[in-house]
Amino acid sequence: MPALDKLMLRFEALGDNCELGLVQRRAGAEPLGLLRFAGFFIPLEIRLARLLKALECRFEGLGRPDTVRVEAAGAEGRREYLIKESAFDLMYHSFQAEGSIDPGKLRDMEAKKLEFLRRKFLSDLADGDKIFVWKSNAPPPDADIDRLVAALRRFGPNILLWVAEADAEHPAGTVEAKRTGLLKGYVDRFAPYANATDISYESWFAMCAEAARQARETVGR
Amino acid sequence: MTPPEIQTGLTKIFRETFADPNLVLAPEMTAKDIEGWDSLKMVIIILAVEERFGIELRTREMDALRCVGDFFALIEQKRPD
Repeated sequence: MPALDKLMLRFEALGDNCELGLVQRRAGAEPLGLLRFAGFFIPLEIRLARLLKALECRFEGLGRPDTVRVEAAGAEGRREYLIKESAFDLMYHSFQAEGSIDPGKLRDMEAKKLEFLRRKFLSDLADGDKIFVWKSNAPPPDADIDRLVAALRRFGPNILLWVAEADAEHPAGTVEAKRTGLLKGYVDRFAPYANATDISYESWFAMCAEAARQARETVGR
Repeated sequence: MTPPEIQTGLTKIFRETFADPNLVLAPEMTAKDIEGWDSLKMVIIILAVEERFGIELRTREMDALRCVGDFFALIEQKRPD
């Protein structure tokens, strides 16, 4: 098995929140990913549909300065700038404390960053080297997952790893090859949205190792 | 562009990115050696490298960047003649 940090670099988050991104960080992997820490700031049930629309238009227009807004948020004394993007309803932390940087300068930097991450995301999709990961605490309909696999494979020979919570038939760490381009993996539980760092790390690591092994065996990479 | 010019340019980028005018780069330095070098800072560094050195990095090249020496080698390899 490859080292944990190398293993975790193989995965790229598609949403619906930053759980995989934090798992990668715990493993010492810091890949650059458009949706690693940025999430769709819309109701949970329609996030996958929004991702599908964004893939369909190749995130065209992402990073246009007029779509990027900087807002201070958080508890008094610990406020930081949040970045809100209106073309695709993305939101993420800047990790910049309020007052530590000019908001206009930050907005320009973030707009450039989004444009760059879009370029890299499209390149990753075309290369077909990554295993793209979708997780949601609200289980999506199978038909939506089918549409996501089809959307990813329009770009290249991509694999979707659909992550779900374990059940009686599927213990944590299990990975099923459902069909070409689709693996379904199970972790013992997801972090609650209200406490995104309460992650079952070992469960994710075990499941990702198995998914990478199956991806190697089934498609030779 | 000579290796010392690359070294100077890279140092300037890192000093600006981490707001540390005294930062001295060594080839073996990684994210563990520079406080705040996370994926977001990495994007800022890569954008600055592309702009300053007039190169475009491919996604596989970015993923392979682990230390300052990797940046140096990649810039040297891709810089325009």
